[in-house]
Amino acid sequence: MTTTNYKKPLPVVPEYEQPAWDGPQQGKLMLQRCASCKANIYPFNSWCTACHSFETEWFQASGKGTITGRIIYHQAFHPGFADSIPYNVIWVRLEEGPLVTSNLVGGDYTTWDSIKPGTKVEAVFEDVTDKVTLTKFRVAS
Amino acid sequence: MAQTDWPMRDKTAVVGVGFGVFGRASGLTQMQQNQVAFHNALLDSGLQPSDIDGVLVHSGPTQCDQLPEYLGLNVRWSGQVWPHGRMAAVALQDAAMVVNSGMANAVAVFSSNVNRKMITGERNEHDESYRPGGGPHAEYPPYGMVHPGCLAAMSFGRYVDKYGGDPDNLGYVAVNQRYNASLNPNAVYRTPITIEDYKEARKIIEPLRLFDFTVNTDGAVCLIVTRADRARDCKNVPVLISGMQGLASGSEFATLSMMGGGASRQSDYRYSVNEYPQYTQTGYEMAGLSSAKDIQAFNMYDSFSPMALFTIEEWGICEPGEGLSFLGSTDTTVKGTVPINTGGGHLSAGMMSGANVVAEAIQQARGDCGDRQVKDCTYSQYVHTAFLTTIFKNGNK
Repeated sequence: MTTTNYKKPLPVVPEYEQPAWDGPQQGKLMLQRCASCKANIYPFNSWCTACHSFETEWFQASGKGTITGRIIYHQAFHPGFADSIPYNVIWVRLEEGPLVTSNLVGGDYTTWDSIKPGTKVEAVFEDVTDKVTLTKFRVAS
Repeated sequence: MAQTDWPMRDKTAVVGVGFGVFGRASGLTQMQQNQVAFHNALLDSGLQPSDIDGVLVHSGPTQCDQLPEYLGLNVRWSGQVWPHGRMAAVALQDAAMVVNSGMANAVAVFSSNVNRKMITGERNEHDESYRPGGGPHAEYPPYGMVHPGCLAAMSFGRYVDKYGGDPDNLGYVAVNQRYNASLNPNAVYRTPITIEDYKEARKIIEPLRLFDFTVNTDGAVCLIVTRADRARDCKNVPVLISGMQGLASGSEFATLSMMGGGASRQSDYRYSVNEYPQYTQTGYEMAGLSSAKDIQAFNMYDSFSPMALFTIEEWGICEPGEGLSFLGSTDTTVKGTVPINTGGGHLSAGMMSGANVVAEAIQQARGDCGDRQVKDCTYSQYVHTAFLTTIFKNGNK
Protein backbone atom coordinates (compact mmCIF):
# COMPACT_ATOMS: atom_id res chain seq x y z
CA MET A 1 0.00 0.00 0.00
CA THR A 2 1.47 3.34 -0.96
CA THR A 3 0.96 6.49 1.02
CA THR A 4 -0.20 8.65 -1.84
CA ASN A 5 -3.01 6.38 -3.02
CA TYR A 6 -4.69 5.91 0.35
CA LYS A 7 -8.00 7.76 0.22
CA LYS A 8 -9.79 6.35 3.24
CA PRO A 9 -10.04 8.40 6.45
CA LEU A 10 -7.10 8.42 8.81
CA PRO A 11 -7.47 8.65 12.58
CA VAL A 12 -7.20 11.91 14.49
CA VAL A 13 -4.96 10.93 17.41
CA PRO A 14 -4.84 12.89 20.66
CA GLU A 15 -1.44 12.86 22.31
CA TYR A 16 -2.47 10.55 25.15
CA GLU A 17 -3.63 7.96 22.60
CA GLN A 18 -0.37 7.87 20.61
CA PRO A 19 0.92 4.57 22.10
CA ALA A 20 -2.21 2.83 20.78
CA TRP A 21 -1.15 3.83 17.26
CA ASP A 22 2.60 3.30 17.71
CA GLY A 23 2.13 -0.31 18.87
CA PRO A 24 0.57 -1.71 15.69
CA GLN A 25 3.52 -0.39 13.66
CA GLN A 26 5.59 -2.95 15.55
CA GLY A 27 2.91 -5.61 15.34
CA LYS A 28 1.60 -5.07 18.86
CA LEU A 29 -1.97 -4.35 19.95
CA MET A 30 -1.63 -1.97 22.88
CA LEU A 31 -4.16 -1.25 25.62
CA GLN A 32 -4.16 1.24 28.48
CA ARG A 33 -4.63 0.70 32.19
CA CYS A 34 -4.33 2.66 35.39
CA ALA A 35 -0.86 2.51 36.94
CA SER A 36 -2.44 2.91 40.35
CA CYS A 37 -5.58 0.71 40.52
CA LYS A 38 -4.78 -1.36 37.37
CA ALA A 39 -8.29 -0.91 35.92
CA ASN A 40 -8.45 -1.08 32.14
CA ILE A 41 -9.05 2.32 30.55
CA TYR A 42 -11.21 2.31 27.44
CA PRO A 43 -11.91 4.48 25.55
CA PHE A 44 -8.34 5.67 26.00
CA ASN A 45 -8.14 8.57 28.37
CA SER A 46 -5.68 10.89 30.06
CA TRP A 47 -6.76 9.70 33.50
CA CYS A 48 -8.33 6.69 35.14
CA THR A 49 -12.10 7.08 35.33
CA ALA A 50 -12.24 4.51 38.16
CA CYS A 51 -9.84 6.18 40.65
CA HIS A 52 -9.01 9.50 38.93
CA SER A 53 -5.29 8.81 38.93
CA PHE A 54 -3.40 10.61 36.16
CA GLU A 55 -0.77 7.84 36.05
CA THR A 56 -1.63 5.48 33.22
CA GLU A 57 0.39 2.75 31.53
CA TRP A 58 0.25 0.72 28.33
CA PHE A 59 0.51 -3.04 27.91
CA GLN A 60 0.52 -5.46 25.01
CA ALA A 61 -2.83 -7.18 24.53
CA SER A 62 -3.21 -10.74 23.28
CA GLY A 63 -4.84 -9.58 20.05
CA LYS A 64 -7.54 -12.19 20.59
CA GLY A 65 -11.24 -11.50 20.76
CA THR A 66 -14.77 -12.44 19.75
CA ILE A 67 -17.05 -10.91 17.13
CA THR A 68 -20.12 -9.38 18.82
CA GLY A 69 -21.61 -7.42 15.94
CA ARG A 70 -21.34 -6.87 12.20
CA ILE A 71 -22.76 -4.62 9.52
CA ILE A 72 -22.32 -4.59 5.75
CA TYR A 73 -22.08 -1.28 3.89
CA HIS A 74 -23.76 -1.31 0.48
CA GLN A 75 -23.37 2.42 0.05
CA ALA A 76 -20.19 4.49 0.40
CA PHE A 77 -20.99 7.50 2.55
CA HIS A 78 -17.34 8.57 2.47
CA PRO A 79 -15.73 8.76 -0.99
CA GLY A 80 -12.69 6.84 0.25
CA PHE A 81 -14.83 3.69 0.40
CA ALA A 82 -16.39 4.05 -3.06
CA ASP A 83 -14.26 1.23 -4.49
CA SER A 84 -14.69 -0.97 -1.42
CA ILE A 85 -18.45 -1.61 -1.23
CA PRO A 86 -19.77 -3.96 -0.12
CA TYR A 87 -17.52 -3.99 2.95
CA ASN A 88 -17.93 -5.11 6.53
CA VAL A 89 -17.45 -3.41 9.88
CA ILE A 90 -17.26 -5.61 12.97
CA TRP A 91 -17.25 -5.10 16.69
CA VAL A 92 -14.75 -7.27 18.54
CA ARG A 93 -14.83 -7.86 22.28
CA LEU A 94 -11.14 -8.22 23.13
CA GLU A 95 -10.05 -10.86 25.63
CA GLU A 96 -8.99 -8.02 27.93
CA GLY A 97 -12.48 -6.43 27.86
CA PRO A 98 -12.62 -3.44 25.50
CA LEU A 99 -15.04 -3.48 22.56
CA VAL A 100 -13.28 -2.26 19.42
CA THR A 101 -14.46 -1.34 15.93
CA SER A 102 -12.61 -2.93 13.01
CA ASN A 103 -12.93 -5.00 9.82
CA LEU A 104 -12.87 -8.77 9.29
CA VAL A 105 -10.24 -9.64 6.66
CA GLY A 106 -8.68 -12.78 5.19
CA GLY A 107 -11.69 -13.96 3.19
CA ASP A 108 -14.83 -12.85 1.39
CA TYR A 109 -16.80 -11.35 4.27
CA THR A 110 -19.12 -9.08 2.34
CA THR A 111 -22.49 -10.69 3.12
CA TRP A 112 -24.51 -10.67 6.32
CA ASP A 113 -24.47 -14.46 6.66
CA SER A 114 -20.73 -14.78 6.05
CA ILE A 115 -19.92 -13.31 9.47
CA LYS A 116 -21.16 -15.12 12.55
CA PRO A 117 -21.35 -13.46 15.97
CA GLY A 118 -19.30 -15.43 18.48
CA THR A 119 -16.51 -16.15 15.99
CA LYS A 120 -13.05 -16.07 17.60
CA VAL A 121 -10.71 -13.68 15.85
CA GLU A 122 -7.11 -12.47 16.10
CA ALA A 123 -5.52 -9.14 15.24
CA VAL A 124 -3.59 -8.51 12.05
CA PHE A 125 -1.85 -5.27 11.27
CA GLU A 126 -2.22 -3.37 8.02
CA ASP A 127 0.16 -0.54 7.14
CA VAL A 128 -2.03 1.92 5.24
CA THR A 129 0.45 4.81 5.14
CA ASP A 130 4.05 5.28 6.30
CA LYS A 131 2.72 6.60 9.60
CA VAL A 132 -0.54 4.73 10.18
CA THR A 133 -1.11 1.03 10.80
CA LEU A 134 -4.68 -0.18 11.29
CA THR A 135 -5.59 -3.15 13.48
CA LYS A 136 -7.90 -5.54 11.65
CA PHE A 137 -9.00 -9.06 12.52
CA ARG A 138 -9.04 -12.48 10.88
CA VAL A 139 -10.73 -15.67 11.96
CA ALA A 140 -8.47 -17.24 14.63
CA SER A 141 -6.33 -20.13 13.45
CA MET B 1 -36.21 8.44 48.73
CA ALA B 2 -39.16 8.56 46.40
CA GLN B 3 -40.27 11.99 45.36
CA THR B 4 -43.93 12.70 46.02
CA ASP B 5 -44.13 16.41 45.25
CA TRP B 6 -43.69 17.41 41.61
CA PRO B 7 -43.66 21.19 41.47
CA MET B 8 -43.63 21.37 37.68
CA ARG B 9 -46.56 19.06 36.95
CA ASP B 10 -48.90 20.86 34.51
CA LYS B 11 -47.17 24.18 35.24
CA THR B 12 -45.87 24.81 31.72
CA ALA B 13 -47.90 25.35 28.57
CA VAL B 14 -46.92 25.10 24.94
CA VAL B 15 -49.07 27.83 23.40
CA GLY B 16 -47.63 28.18 19.91
CA VAL B 17 -46.51 25.70 17.27
CA GLY B 18 -45.14 27.07 14.01
CA PHE B 19 -43.55 25.41 11.01
CA GLY B 20 -41.22 26.67 8.32
CA VAL B 21 -41.41 25.40 4.75
CA PHE B 22 -40.83 21.65 4.70
CA GLY B 23 -39.35 19.95 1.65
CA ARG B 24 -36.22 18.34 0.35
CA ALA B 25 -34.92 21.63 -1.09
CA SER B 26 -36.88 24.67 0.04
CA GLY B 27 -34.68 27.34 -1.52
CA LEU B 28 -34.85 29.24 1.76
CA THR B 29 -31.95 30.09 4.04
CA GLN B 30 -31.85 28.80 7.58
CA MET B 31 -32.71 32.25 8.89
CA GLN B 32 -35.71 32.52 6.56
CA GLN B 33 -36.94 29.13 7.72
CA ASN B 34 -36.72 30.29 11.34
CA GLN B 35 -38.51 33.52 10.49
CA VAL B 36 -41.39 31.67 8.82
CA ALA B 37 -41.66 29.25 11.75
CA PHE B 38 -41.59 32.11 14.29
CA HIS B 39 -44.24 34.06 12.39
CA ASN B 40 -46.50 30.99 12.27
CA ALA B 41 -45.95 30.19 15.96
CA LEU B 42 -46.89 33.75 16.93
CA LEU B 43 -50.06 33.56 14.82
CA ASP B 44 -50.88 30.22 16.40
CA SER B 45 -50.42 31.58 19.93
CA GLY B 46 -52.00 34.98 19.51
CA LEU B 47 -48.94 36.54 21.16
CA GLN B 48 -47.07 39.60 19.94
CA PRO B 49 -43.33 39.62 19.23
CA SER B 50 -42.88 41.84 22.29
CA ASP B 51 -44.33 39.07 24.47
CA ILE B 52 -41.34 36.83 23.68
CA ASP B 53 -38.53 37.44 26.16
CA GLY B 54 -36.55 34.23 25.75
CA VAL B 55 -35.01 32.40 22.78
CA LEU B 56 -33.55 28.91 22.81
CA VAL B 57 -31.80 27.49 19.76
CA HIS B 58 -31.66 23.76 19.17
CA SER B 59 -30.59 22.44 15.77
CA GLY B 60 -29.05 24.09 12.79
CA PRO B 61 -26.10 26.46 12.50
CA THR B 62 -28.32 29.37 13.54
CA GLN B 63 -26.94 30.83 16.74
CA CYS B 64 -28.59 32.43 19.70
CA ASP B 65 -26.58 35.64 19.43
CA GLN B 66 -27.87 36.35 15.91
CA LEU B 67 -31.33 34.81 15.75
CA PRO B 68 -33.11 37.33 18.04
CA GLU B 69 -31.57 40.18 16.04
CA TYR B 70 -32.94 38.76 12.79
CA LEU B 71 -36.35 38.22 14.37
CA GLY B 72 -36.45 41.80 15.61
CA LEU B 73 -36.31 40.75 19.27
CA ASN B 74 -34.38 41.82 22.31
CA VAL B 75 -34.76 39.05 24.87
CA ARG B 76 -33.68 38.78 28.49
CA TRP B 77 -32.86 35.10 28.23
CA SER B 78 -31.12 33.22 25.40
CA GLY B 79 -29.49 29.85 25.15
CA GLN B 80 -28.48 27.02 22.90
CA VAL B 81 -28.17 23.23 23.09
CA TRP B 82 -26.11 20.62 21.22
CA PRO B 83 -27.65 20.49 17.71
CA HIS B 84 -28.39 16.76 17.84
CA GLY B 85 -31.86 15.28 17.56
CA ARG B 86 -31.74 13.91 21.07
CA MET B 87 -31.65 17.51 22.31
CA ALA B 88 -34.94 18.69 20.74
CA ALA B 89 -36.98 17.53 23.72
CA VAL B 90 -34.22 18.61 26.11
CA ALA B 91 -34.45 22.14 24.67
CA LEU B 92 -38.19 22.21 25.32
CA GLN B 93 -37.62 20.97 28.88
CA ASP B 94 -35.00 23.69 29.41
CA ALA B 95 -37.50 26.29 28.20
CA ALA B 96 -40.11 24.94 30.62
CA MET B 97 -37.65 25.33 33.50
CA VAL B 98 -36.73 28.85 32.37
CA VAL B 99 -40.32 30.14 32.33
CA ASN B 100 -41.06 28.51 35.67
CA SER B 101 -37.95 30.06 37.20
CA GLY B 102 -39.13 33.52 36.24
CA MET B 103 -36.09 34.26 34.08
CA ALA B 104 -38.44 34.69 31.11
CA ASN B 105 -42.19 34.72 30.59
CA ALA B 106 -42.34 33.25 27.10
CA VAL B 107 -39.53 31.35 25.41
CA ALA B 108 -39.46 30.55 21.70
CA VAL B 109 -37.58 27.31 20.94
CA PHE B 110 -36.12 26.95 17.43
CA SER B 111 -35.03 23.95 15.38
CA SER B 112 -34.20 24.23 11.70
CA ASN B 113 -32.44 22.39 8.92
CA VAL B 114 -31.42 23.61 5.49
CA ASN B 115 -29.37 21.57 3.05
CA ARG B 116 -28.21 19.46 5.94
CA LYS B 117 -25.75 16.66 5.43
CA MET B 118 -25.33 13.70 7.71
CA ILE B 119 -21.90 13.56 9.31
CA THR B 120 -20.15 10.95 7.23
CA GLY B 121 -16.50 11.25 8.17
CA GLU B 122 -15.73 13.63 5.32
CA ARG B 123 -13.22 15.36 7.40
CA ASN B 124 -13.67 18.91 8.45
CA GLU B 125 -13.33 20.73 11.72
CA HIS B 126 -17.00 20.15 12.60
CA ASP B 127 -17.09 16.44 11.87
CA GLU B 128 -17.75 14.76 15.20
CA SER B 129 -17.04 11.32 13.72
CA TYR B 130 -13.38 11.89 14.61
CA ARG B 131 -14.00 12.56 18.27
CA PRO B 132 -11.57 10.59 20.47
CA GLY B 133 -13.31 7.41 21.57
CA GLY B 134 -15.74 7.51 18.65
CA GLY B 135 -18.45 9.76 17.23
CA PRO B 136 -21.85 10.47 18.76
CA HIS B 137 -23.33 7.45 16.95
CA ALA B 138 -20.23 5.25 17.50
CA GLU B 139 -18.67 6.35 14.22
CA TYR B 140 -15.09 5.23 13.66
CA PRO B 141 -14.07 6.45 10.21
CA PRO B 142 -10.68 4.70 9.71
CA TYR B 143 -12.53 1.36 9.57
CA GLY B 144 -15.41 2.68 7.49
CA MET B 145 -17.88 2.97 10.36
CA VAL B 146 -19.43 6.21 9.14
CA HIS B 147 -22.90 7.79 8.95
CA PRO B 148 -25.17 8.00 12.03
CA GLY B 149 -27.12 4.95 10.82
CA CYS B 150 -24.12 2.74 11.56
CA LEU B 151 -25.00 2.36 15.24
CA ALA B 152 -28.68 1.72 14.53
CA ALA B 153 -27.68 -1.02 12.06
CA MET B 154 -25.15 -2.58 14.44
CA SER B 155 -27.57 -2.41 17.37
CA PHE B 156 -30.44 -3.91 15.37
CA GLY B 157 -28.27 -6.82 14.23
CA ARG B 158 -27.22 -7.42 17.81
CA TYR B 159 -30.85 -7.15 18.95
CA VAL B 160 -31.92 -9.90 16.54
CA ASP B 161 -28.98 -12.08 17.61
CA LYS B 162 -29.95 -11.68 21.25
CA TYR B 163 -33.76 -11.62 21.25
CA GLY B 164 -34.73 -13.27 17.99
CA GLY B 165 -37.92 -12.40 16.12
CA ASP B 166 -38.54 -11.82 12.43
CA PRO B 167 -36.26 -8.96 11.38
CA ASP B 168 -38.56 -8.12 8.45
CA ASN B 169 -41.21 -7.03 10.98
CA LEU B 170 -39.09 -3.94 11.54
CA GLY B 171 -40.60 -2.88 8.22
CA TYR B 172 -43.94 -2.19 9.90
CA VAL B 173 -42.36 0.85 11.54
CA ALA B 174 -41.81 2.41 8.11
CA VAL B 175 -45.04 1.07 6.60
CA ASN B 176 -47.35 2.25 9.40
CA GLN B 177 -45.67 5.61 9.76
CA ARG B 178 -45.99 6.15 6.01
CA TYR B 179 -49.73 5.56 6.36
CA ASN B 180 -49.82 8.23 9.09
CA ALA B 181 -47.80 10.56 6.86
CA SER B 182 -50.35 10.10 4.08
CA LEU B 183 -52.76 11.97 6.40
CA ASN B 184 -50.24 14.71 7.21
CA PRO B 185 -50.13 17.59 4.69
CA ASN B 186 -46.76 18.67 6.09
CA ALA B 187 -45.05 15.30 5.50
CA VAL B 188 -42.36 14.93 2.85
CA TYR B 189 -43.30 11.37 1.81
CA ARG B 190 -47.04 10.66 1.66
CA THR B 191 -47.46 7.75 -0.77
CA PRO B 192 -48.26 4.59 1.20
CA ILE B 193 -45.82 1.66 1.03
CA THR B 194 -46.35 -2.03 1.74
CA ILE B 195 -44.29 -4.53 3.70
CA GLU B 196 -43.31 -6.04 0.31
CA ASP B 197 -41.97 -2.64 -0.80
CA TYR B 198 -39.94 -2.61 2.39
CA LYS B 199 -38.49 -6.09 1.91
CA GLU B 200 -37.59 -5.43 -1.71
CA ALA B 201 -35.89 -2.08 -1.06
CA ARG B 202 -32.14 -1.92 -1.49
CA LYS B 203 -29.85 -2.56 1.44
CA ILE B 204 -28.01 0.49 2.71
CA ILE B 205 -26.13 -0.56 5.86
CA GLU B 206 -27.16 -4.19 6.27
CA PRO B 207 -29.29 -5.29 8.10
CA LEU B 208 -31.02 -1.94 7.36
CA ARG B 209 -32.72 -1.07 4.09
CA LEU B 210 -33.76 2.12 2.34
CA PHE B 211 -37.00 2.69 4.27
CA ASP B 212 -35.21 2.29 7.61
CA PHE B 213 -33.44 5.61 7.04
CA THR B 214 -34.78 9.10 7.53
CA VAL B 215 -34.31 11.66 4.84
CA ASN B 216 -32.74 15.06 5.31
CA THR B 217 -35.33 17.77 4.99
CA ASP B 218 -35.40 21.54 4.89
CA GLY B 219 -37.70 23.20 7.36
CA ALA B 220 -38.04 24.70 10.79
CA VAL B 221 -40.10 24.31 13.93
CA CYS B 222 -40.78 27.02 16.50
CA LEU B 223 -42.46 26.21 19.81
CA ILE B 224 -43.59 28.96 22.20
CA VAL B 225 -43.58 28.03 25.87
CA THR B 226 -44.99 29.95 28.81
CA ARG B 227 -46.29 29.28 32.30
CA ALA B 228 -49.66 27.58 32.46
CA ASP B 229 -51.19 30.44 34.44
CA ARG B 230 -50.35 32.85 31.61
CA ALA B 231 -51.62 30.54 28.88
CA ARG B 232 -55.31 31.35 29.24
CA ASP B 233 -54.72 34.66 27.42
CA CYS B 234 -53.53 32.74 24.37
CA LYS B 235 -55.54 31.93 21.29
CA ASN B 236 -55.64 28.12 21.30
CA VAL B 237 -56.09 25.27 23.71
CA PRO B 238 -52.92 25.22 25.83
CA VAL B 239 -50.96 21.98 25.87
CA LEU B 240 -49.56 21.36 29.33
CA ILE B 241 -46.25 19.69 30.04
CA SER B 242 -47.32 17.17 32.65
CA GLY B 243 -44.19 15.10 33.06
CA MET B 244 -40.55 15.18 32.02
CA GLN B 245 -37.62 12.82 32.27
CA GLY B 246 -34.19 13.93 31.11
CA LEU B 247 -31.76 12.35 28.71
CA ALA B 248 -29.64 9.80 30.59
CA SER B 249 -25.95 9.94 29.75
CA GLY B 250 -22.82 7.95 30.55
CA SER B 251 -21.08 4.83 29.35
CA GLU B 252 -24.23 2.74 29.88
CA PHE B 253 -26.36 4.88 27.56
CA ALA B 254 -26.31 4.90 23.77
CA THR B 255 -29.12 6.75 22.00
CA LEU B 256 -29.15 4.39 19.01
CA SER B 257 -29.36 1.23 21.07
CA MET B 258 -31.61 0.00 23.83
CA MET B 259 -30.43 -0.60 27.37
CA GLY B 260 -28.27 -3.71 27.58
CA GLY B 261 -27.58 -3.61 23.86
CA GLY B 262 -23.85 -3.83 24.45
CA ALA B 263 -23.38 -0.85 22.15
CA SER B 264 -20.12 1.07 22.33
CA ARG B 265 -19.23 0.78 26.03
CA GLN B 266 -22.63 -0.36 27.28
CA SER B 267 -22.96 -3.57 29.26
CA ASP B 268 -24.51 -6.49 27.43
CA TYR B 269 -27.54 -8.01 29.16
CA ARG B 270 -31.24 -8.76 28.76
CA TYR B 271 -33.18 -5.61 29.53
CA SER B 272 -36.15 -5.53 31.86
CA VAL B 273 -38.27 -2.40 32.17
CA ASN B 274 -38.45 -2.82 35.95
CA GLU B 275 -34.69 -2.57 36.34
CA TYR B 276 -34.61 1.18 35.93
CA PRO B 277 -37.60 2.67 37.75
CA GLN B 278 -35.64 5.83 38.50
CA TYR B 279 -35.41 6.40 34.75
CA THR B 280 -38.67 5.06 33.38
CA GLN B 281 -40.97 6.24 36.16
CA THR B 282 -39.97 9.86 36.77
CA GLY B 283 -41.89 11.19 33.77
CA TYR B 284 -45.04 9.21 34.57
CA GLU B 285 -44.94 10.04 38.29
CA MET B 286 -44.44 13.72 37.57
CA ALA B 287 -47.48 13.56 35.28
CA GLY B 288 -49.52 11.68 37.88
CA LEU B 289 -49.72 8.62 35.63
CA SER B 290 -48.59 5.05 36.13
CA SER B 291 -47.24 3.77 32.82
CA ALA B 292 -47.38 3.85 29.04
CA LYS B 293 -50.88 2.37 29.29
CA ASP B 294 -52.17 5.82 30.31
CA ILE B 295 -51.02 7.40 27.05
CA GLN B 296 -53.17 7.68 23.91
CA ALA B 297 -50.50 8.63 21.33
CA PHE B 298 -46.75 8.07 21.16
CA ASN B 299 -44.28 10.05 19.12
CA MET B 300 -40.71 8.84 19.21
CA TYR B 301 -37.33 9.63 17.77
CA ASP B 302 -36.87 7.57 14.61
CA SER B 303 -33.94 8.82 12.58
CA PHE B 304 -33.57 5.09 11.83
CA SER B 305 -36.42 2.64 12.35
CA PRO B 306 -34.67 0.42 14.96
CA MET B 307 -34.93 3.36 17.36
CA ALA B 308 -38.71 2.92 17.39
CA LEU B 309 -38.25 -0.78 18.22
CA PHE B 310 -35.77 0.01 21.00
CA THR B 311 -37.97 2.80 22.36
CA ILE B 312 -41.18 0.75 22.64
CA GLU B 313 -39.26 -1.90 24.60
CA GLU B 314 -37.30 0.51 26.77
CA TRP B 315 -40.54 2.24 27.81
CA GLY B 316 -42.55 -0.91 28.39
CA ILE B 317 -44.97 -0.25 25.52
CA CYS B 318 -44.29 -3.93 24.85
CA GLU B 319 -42.19 -6.47 26.72
CA PRO B 320 -38.43 -6.47 26.08
CA GLY B 321 -37.58 -8.97 23.36
CA GLU B 322 -41.12 -8.99 21.99
CA GLY B 323 -40.84 -5.85 19.90
CA LEU B 324 -40.67 -7.50 16.49
CA SER B 325 -43.69 -9.72 17.13
CA PHE B 326 -45.50 -6.68 18.60
CA LEU B 327 -44.80 -4.69 15.42
CA GLY B 328 -45.97 -7.60 13.30
CA SER B 329 -49.26 -7.97 15.17
CA THR B 330 -50.23 -4.46 16.35
CA ASP B 331 -51.79 -1.65 14.34
CA THR B 332 -49.52 1.29 15.18
CA THR B 333 -51.20 3.68 12.76
CA VAL B 334 -53.38 6.52 13.99
CA LYS B 335 -56.41 4.23 13.51
CA GLY B 336 -54.85 1.48 15.61
CA THR B 337 -54.64 0.47 19.23
CA VAL B 338 -51.14 1.88 19.90
CA PRO B 339 -50.60 4.90 17.63
CA ILE B 340 -46.90 5.50 17.01
CA ASN B 341 -45.38 8.47 15.18
CA THR B 342 -48.74 9.85 14.25
CA GLY B 343 -47.43 12.41 11.77
CA GLY B 344 -45.15 9.95 9.97
CA GLY B 345 -42.08 10.45 12.15
CA HIS B 346 -38.74 11.39 10.70
CA LEU B 347 -38.92 8.42 8.34
CA SER B 348 -41.81 9.91 6.35
CA ALA B 349 -42.58 13.41 7.62
CA GLY B 350 -38.95 14.44 7.25
CA MET B 351 -35.85 14.87 9.40
CA MET B 352 -36.11 17.89 11.66
CA SER B 353 -33.82 16.56 14.37
CA GLY B 354 -36.62 15.60 16.70
CA ALA B 355 -38.46 18.92 16.63
CA ASN B 356 -41.23 17.96 14.21
CA VAL B 357 -41.84 14.75 16.15
CA VAL B 358 -42.06 16.70 19.42
CA ALA B 359 -44.40 19.17 17.69
CA GLU B 360 -46.62 16.32 16.52
CA ALA B 361 -46.90 15.05 20.11
CA ILE B 362 -48.00 18.55 21.17
CA GLN B 363 -50.54 18.84 18.35
CA GLN B 364 -52.04 15.44 19.14
CA ALA B 365 -52.61 16.52 22.75
CA ARG B 366 -54.20 19.73 21.48
CA GLY B 367 -56.51 17.77 19.16
CA ASP B 368 -55.26 19.67 16.16
CA CYS B 369 -54.34 16.90 13.75
CA GLY B 370 -57.27 16.67 11.35
CA ASP B 371 -57.48 13.34 9.54
CA ARG B 372 -54.67 11.86 11.60
CA GLN B 373 -56.00 12.95 15.00
CA VAL B 374 -55.99 10.11 17.53
CA LYS B 375 -59.44 9.88 19.11
CA ASP B 376 -59.94 10.96 22.71
CA CYS B 377 -56.32 11.97 23.12
CA THR B 378 -55.79 13.54 26.52
CA TYR B 379 -52.19 12.45 27.10
CA SER B 380 -49.59 12.31 24.36
CA GLN B 381 -46.01 11.25 24.99
CA TYR B 382 -42.75 12.03 23.26
CA VAL B 383 -40.39 9.12 23.95
CA HIS B 384 -36.76 8.54 23.14
CA THR B 385 -34.10 5.99 23.96
CA ALA B 386 -31.85 6.75 26.95
CA PHE B 387 -35.09 7.44 28.86
CA LEU B 388 -35.79 10.91 27.53
CA THR B 389 -39.46 11.79 27.61
CA THR B 390 -41.98 14.61 27.80
CA ILE B 391 -45.64 13.95 28.53
CA PHE B 392 -48.18 16.43 27.15
CA LYS B 393 -51.75 16.94 28.29
CA ASN B 394 -54.69 18.72 26.72
CA GLY B 395 -55.16 21.79 28.91
CA ASN B 396 -58.95 21.76 28.54
CA LYS B 397 -59.40 18.19 29.75
